[in-house]
Amino acid sequence: MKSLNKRITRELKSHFGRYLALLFMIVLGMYLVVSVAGMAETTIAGTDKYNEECRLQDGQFTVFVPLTEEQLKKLSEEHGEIEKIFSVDVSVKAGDTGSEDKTLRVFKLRNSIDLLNLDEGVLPEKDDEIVIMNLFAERNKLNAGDRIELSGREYRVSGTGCIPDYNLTVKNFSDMTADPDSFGVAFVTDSAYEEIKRDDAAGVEEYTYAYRLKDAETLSEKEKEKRARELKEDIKDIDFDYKASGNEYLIEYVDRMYQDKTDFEEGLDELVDETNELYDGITEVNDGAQELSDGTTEVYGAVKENNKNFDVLKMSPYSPLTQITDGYLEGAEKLKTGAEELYDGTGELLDGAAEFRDGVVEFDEEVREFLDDNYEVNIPNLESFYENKDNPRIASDAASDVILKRLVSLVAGAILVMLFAYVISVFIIHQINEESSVIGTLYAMGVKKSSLIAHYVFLPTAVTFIAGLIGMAMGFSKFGVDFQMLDSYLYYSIPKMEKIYPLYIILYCLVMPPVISVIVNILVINKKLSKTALSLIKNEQESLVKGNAVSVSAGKSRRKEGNFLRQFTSRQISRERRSVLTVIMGMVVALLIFMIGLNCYVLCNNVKKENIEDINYEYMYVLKYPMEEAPKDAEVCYMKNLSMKYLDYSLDVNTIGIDNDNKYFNFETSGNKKELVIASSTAQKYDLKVGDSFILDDTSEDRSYAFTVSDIVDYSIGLTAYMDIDEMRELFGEEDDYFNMLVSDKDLKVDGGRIYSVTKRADIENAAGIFVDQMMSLIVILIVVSILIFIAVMYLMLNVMIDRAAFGISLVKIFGYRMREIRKVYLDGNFYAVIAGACIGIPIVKKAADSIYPYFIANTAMGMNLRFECFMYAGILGGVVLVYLVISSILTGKIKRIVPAEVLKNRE
Amino acid sequence: MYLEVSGLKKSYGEGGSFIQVLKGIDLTVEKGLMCVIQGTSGSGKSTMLNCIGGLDTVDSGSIKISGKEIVGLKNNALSEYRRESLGFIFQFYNLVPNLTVRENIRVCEYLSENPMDIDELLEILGLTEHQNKFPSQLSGGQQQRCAIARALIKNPKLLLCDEPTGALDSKTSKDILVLLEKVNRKYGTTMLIVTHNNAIKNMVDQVIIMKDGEIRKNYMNEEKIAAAELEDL
Repeated sequence: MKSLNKRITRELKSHFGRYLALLFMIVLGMYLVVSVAGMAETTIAGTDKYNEECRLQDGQFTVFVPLTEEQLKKLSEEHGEIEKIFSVDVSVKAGDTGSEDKTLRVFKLRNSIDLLNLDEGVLPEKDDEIVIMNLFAERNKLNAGDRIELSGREYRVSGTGCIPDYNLTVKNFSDMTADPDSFGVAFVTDSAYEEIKRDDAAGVEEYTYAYRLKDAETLSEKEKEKRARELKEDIKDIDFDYKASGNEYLIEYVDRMYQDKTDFEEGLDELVDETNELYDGITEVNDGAQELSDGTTEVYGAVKENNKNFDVLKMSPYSPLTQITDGYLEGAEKLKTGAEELYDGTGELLDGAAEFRDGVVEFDEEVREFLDDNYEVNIPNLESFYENKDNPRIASDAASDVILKRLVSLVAGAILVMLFAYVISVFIIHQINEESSVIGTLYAMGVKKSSLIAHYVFLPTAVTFIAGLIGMAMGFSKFGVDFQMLDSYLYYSIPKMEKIYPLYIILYCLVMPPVISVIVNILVINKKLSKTALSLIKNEQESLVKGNAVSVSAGKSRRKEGNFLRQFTSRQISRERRSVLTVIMGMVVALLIFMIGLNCYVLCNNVKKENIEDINYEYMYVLKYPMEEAPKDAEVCYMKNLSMKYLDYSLDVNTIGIDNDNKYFNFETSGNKKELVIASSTAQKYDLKVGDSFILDDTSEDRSYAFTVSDIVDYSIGLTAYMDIDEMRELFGEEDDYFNMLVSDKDLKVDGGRIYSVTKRADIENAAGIFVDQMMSLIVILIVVSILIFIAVMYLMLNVMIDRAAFGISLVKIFGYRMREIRKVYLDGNFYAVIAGACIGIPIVKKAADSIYPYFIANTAMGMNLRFECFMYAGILGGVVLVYLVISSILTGKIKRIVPAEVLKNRE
Repeated sequence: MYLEVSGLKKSYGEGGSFIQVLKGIDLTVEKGLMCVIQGTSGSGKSTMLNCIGGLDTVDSGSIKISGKEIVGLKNNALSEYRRESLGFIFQFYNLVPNLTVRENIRVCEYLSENPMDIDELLEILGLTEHQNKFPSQLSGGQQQRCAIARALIKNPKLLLCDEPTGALDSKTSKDILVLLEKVNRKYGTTMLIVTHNNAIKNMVDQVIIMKDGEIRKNYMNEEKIAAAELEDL
């Protein structure tokens, strides 16, 4: 066997190119696996470490009015650590020209949660110092020591860094992609923050708190959810005096919500006041009547006394005078009686007024009670509440992005190694066929099969092992993991992570390729070497001795000559079916990788193209505090953030109430509360069709709504659904004229304090462009790798086919076959096999790529238009043909070099 | 003359390993004759046959077939020459293993504008019942008959046979030689037969004896006997 083993080096030398190509491809495969999986492990471990060191929040909530120290203390004691992470958005001048409008979200330095991780420089100590988010700094060419202008003030960049709650730096939770070029976060001293906040140009301060639940590390996800819900309820239960917020827009907004009640209450106040006034008036009348009664009594008494003086005149001639005084007395008495009756009457009136007043007071109290009970506008002091898993800045972090890449790379690596192990096995079978008689002789001389298998397996095993080793070394080099990490560093705001070397990746590279190679080769060689020594000596072909002769028709007609060549060709393909199958397998694997890359490109491109096509407006304002009257030139809408589960992620589906004559959303809703018109992006993402039912969750209210799809409209920006605005107002209990979203083709100059977000056409175009840009490197890598794989497999297999057919080629050359005929028999047959394989494989592979693609962008709130134009399929097929033709022309040279004398070497 | 070879030289290797295999061969063969080239191993007989067949290049000299020079022809022209004029029979048959007997024959039938009748040929060569078998299912003699059929199907003007009986037993060898004789008679095919076998010279028209790259004897066999009468094969 020792002498046999000497042949190993000779075999390597004689087929050096072949083994080199194989080595290269396995190195490439392992390099990609290690690069991607190593990057994934580094990112996951690095993110975990970063989150732990910087004490990542378990969640965050934003309130309308800052919590009091007492409220904070109570919540903290109950639930765990809570820290203010208040912020204001400030416009900055940055970018290449230093004059582009960008936004920095400015925070104070944190003390215990979501701590700032400095990449370079120092924390701000002076009021004119600022730390800028690393990604924003990099994109805007800012370094420690540079100066930056915020709202007219100049700051010195004291350092750059990142925070774990802005891993993915989306400005708003509903943003489709991050745009670190124009949005970032920054940190200043407490006093500088207060200064910035006071600036008119600064946006409304966001009162956000980060929390870390007690014993969170010991809690399961379910328990964490439960505890978060409890915290949320406790926040909602806190007494809330919105007027204390000092936020004029909030006060105006809430006041408007309270307006009807206030009007009612003011009416009541008026009624009570007027009733009191009435009572008071009647009391005065009563008092007057009493005085009148008293006066008339006195008059009567006086008249009566006076009459007594006239009594002496009764018997005198002046007695008629007494008739007059009696008349006076009678009159005075009547006056007194009348006054007394008036007094009694006003007294009764007063009693009535008092009763009326009491009744009104009682009515007032009852009505107020009724209003309080039934006219409550329940506004808890909670604007938003996000657990980490629902916070796209954290849930869609760099680590989440790489988990699937790791899996895909490991599976793809294994498939590649299997493919190349199979390729190697084809070489070995060819070698065994060539050396069949030698092997048979060795068998006959008593050499064991195991020794022969070991001999033939040694070289491929060594090659795959060395390839794995080199691939691993390259993968862990700065051209591998470090290079792959660039994608994460370019898109996520994360610190530079320490590269790790997971044992399983090392074993994957060092053990898996040789083991797969050994297994595949032993299986194949074992079968080949199971023949008898005689059979091997005679080099019988197993498929032929079984008598599966399919006779080529014995036509005599010259018209059948071409037919004969075709039959000869098909017989040749049949003989080489293993190689042809390997070419097709390789093509399918390559096409799958290619298709994933192309899908990525198509998706990004479609997003870019459709986003631009679908925007009918120039500005879209989502209002935090809507105004009473919409500005002219604006179409009003009502937008509500609902969410829908997609795999493990909860994605925002912006549900928008629109009028049917809304010129920017030019389609009709059904007018039914249970039906939604959905955007094409939503339909693509959730695979929804007209008539399908689906459920949207309102996480802020812990409610779910079931809807039916009434129509699907072309709209690709984010995930959206539409309903008649009146129906939507009714469904979600809003006023008849409520709106919180404005769309317009003009800049509406809405006060910054009212706005939650503004989306401009340019922003969407820019974001769509960014999406394409950031995926381009991956697209290029996938496409290049797939083409290399395809070329390698096709070249190696066609090459080995030519090698195997060398004798036949030589023979037909002796007979006088022309080059065109030789090509037709020995090469062009593969063309038809490749074309047939491509025609069948391309749609299947496209389907497979489309099926796995949703997992790649599971956490992205966007549609998935993976539709290829017809020319792209034609292009892929054309590419396959082109690769084939290039390789074919190379191999034509090889065929030409086969000399007729080859046959003469066949001396057994 | 059908075949004219003059001053044919052929060498291999350089320096210390230089071997002059053919040292200026001159010979002629008339059309329709059976000619045997005999010699020991290394005498250059196979090399000469390969040069005549256009399978190998020559250092110098001339080879004319029907007056047409083949030395110096390009590969394509050599291919056409072989396609139109030559038939080859090898010691180890060199059948295409994944083609049946009939298909192996058709490989060459395809090349001819006016091929022989394949069924007739199969009949003559006793292969009719084996026509759908693969080479590995045939005996050596059957394989060689298949190789002969393949060579003859296109009705070549010149048949080059390199040790056609070298791998066969005596009886089968005789059968093959009888067959070749029959073909020669029936179709008037010119045959050059390279062989070790001394007995074969008795059945042919012309005998060439080679040694050390030179023709030592070249004579017409006046006492030719039928192949069936050959002994000590």
